[in-house]
Amino acid sequence: MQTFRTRPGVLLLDVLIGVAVFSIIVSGVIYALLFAQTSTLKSGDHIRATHLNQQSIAGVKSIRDNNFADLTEGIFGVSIGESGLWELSGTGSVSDDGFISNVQVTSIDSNRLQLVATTSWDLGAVRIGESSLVTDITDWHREQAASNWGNVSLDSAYIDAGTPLFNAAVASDSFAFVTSEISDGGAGLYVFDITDTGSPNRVAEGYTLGSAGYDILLVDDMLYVVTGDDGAEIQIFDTTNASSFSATDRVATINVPGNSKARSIVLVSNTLFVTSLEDSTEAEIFSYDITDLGAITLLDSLEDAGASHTSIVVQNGYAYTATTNDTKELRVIDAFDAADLQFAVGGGGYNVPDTPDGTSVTAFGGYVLLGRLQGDLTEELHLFDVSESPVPTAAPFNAETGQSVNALDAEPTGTYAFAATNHDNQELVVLDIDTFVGGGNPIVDVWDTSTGLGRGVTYDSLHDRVFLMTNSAFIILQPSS
Amino acid sequence: MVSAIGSFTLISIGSLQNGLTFQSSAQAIENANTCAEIGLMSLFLNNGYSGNESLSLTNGTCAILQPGGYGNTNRTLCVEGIRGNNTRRMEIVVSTLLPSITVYSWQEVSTITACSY
Repeated sequence: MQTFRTRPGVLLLDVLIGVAVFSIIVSGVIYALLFAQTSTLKSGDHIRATHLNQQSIAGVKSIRDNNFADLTEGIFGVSIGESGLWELSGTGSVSDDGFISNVQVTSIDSNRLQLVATTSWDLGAVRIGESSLVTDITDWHREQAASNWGNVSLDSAYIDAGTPLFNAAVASDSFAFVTSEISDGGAGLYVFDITDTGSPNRVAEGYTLGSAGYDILLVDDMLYVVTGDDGAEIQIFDTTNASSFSATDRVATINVPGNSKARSIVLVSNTLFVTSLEDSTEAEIFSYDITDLGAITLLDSLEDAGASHTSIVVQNGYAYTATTNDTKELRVIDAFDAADLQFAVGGGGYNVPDTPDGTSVTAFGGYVLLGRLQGDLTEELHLFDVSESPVPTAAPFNAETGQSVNALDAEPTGTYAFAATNHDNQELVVLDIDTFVGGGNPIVDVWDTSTGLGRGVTYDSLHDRVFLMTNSAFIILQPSS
Repeated sequence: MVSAIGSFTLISIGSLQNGLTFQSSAQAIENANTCAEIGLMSLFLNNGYSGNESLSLTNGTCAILQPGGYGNTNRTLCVEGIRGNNTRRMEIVVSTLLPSITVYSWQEVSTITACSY
């Protein structure tokens, strides 16, 4: 029998093999630990660099917020200056822990810049790297000044051979859609090619709405028309092919409770608010969910006994309506929850002196402007400051137009508002809001037309034009240059 | 012992991935911000802007959905940015466009609900 002692060197060999294997395994573990540590550090470096890149971009955006023109092309460091504000300085900035960051600014067009924020680091043999983030910024923070509407002039006009009694208008880039009565031969809805606003060209001349058209709005390609059709007071059309507009473009309708009583609409997100003339058995204010035009649903309605609501606008979650209510010519409705319409806390409206009906309403920059029928004792225009309270708590600023105000609109800067009136030689009145608020006579210009009463007015921001609708004309007015 | 080494190695690779994923995700949100900036500028210049744009960017893509609302007030802008496997989405509610844009809210969301796809 062979024994341990009879095999010299075996023990030594086993020990050596054992030590070698153990060393290899321990080395592997140590390497794995070191690798894990290095990986964690490298990962941390990338995250740190990404944060610094985000910080650089935020700094440049802060400069942009103040003035887009302060940004020029080049490679800059971004740091906080002595004033405590972000500023571009040098060609890079170094963090306390040794990361070097810069931003490359490249102009794409007059309103758009590309930012490439890059951070590099060299923190030892295995901790060297570079990381970038790319983003574009634009000049959306800028403020647009109003054109000078204190001096209006004629751009062009479509004058019908008859008296369509035009009511309201809305425009896309290339087309204007104008509603009318049908009682004196009007088509209810007219389409004009206004690619050149100086030369409106009526298209789809064979089309008739089949009922009177009242208020109108355009959202993307969808045209919402308030009509006199007692089974389809709201009609929705696809205007993709506006030049050949036809009845087949109608994609949906809403049968508003009451017979042909709907008069005005406004859209907020996916909720359509509708107001109607007085109906003894139906409400006068309605809200509809139009998310799916194939399944429009009534969300809620609100009754205002004895009052017609002829115009509506929404501002900061509150709907303002012009009404025939003798003690609440201006109604204020809490519209935050469209499925739970309520008159706003604080009285639900405002009672202006005397009883001429409210006819129209518009809103801009913390103000609500109400137009009324002509009053012997009172003015026809009332401007409410609603910046502090949605229901006016103070008496409005008042202005006299001499005749009934039929429609109102304002350009979005809130510098000027426009009123369509029954006045014989002031069918359009231009109002300077600052003067109005200052207590002076706000009328800075008027437009006289021989085509009938001022029945409707719309400011078109796409073309910076005012559309004035009269008995027989669709008039396009422009500001002075 | 071998399994310990394997575990350490996997953890190491995971650590490396964390940094790169964070960077990729940050780029995705910058792509979304790019579309937000472009969308806001477009709405400012033309409140009839209809969105539905996809942009190819230096490091990924972004998309502007059809804005909600109409006219000068109460508009909603929805955008998403993509970088690799990372997608970030944002909804922006604008109180007014003119005379200057007033942002009511600007928040990241997991699913866009305020605009139409």
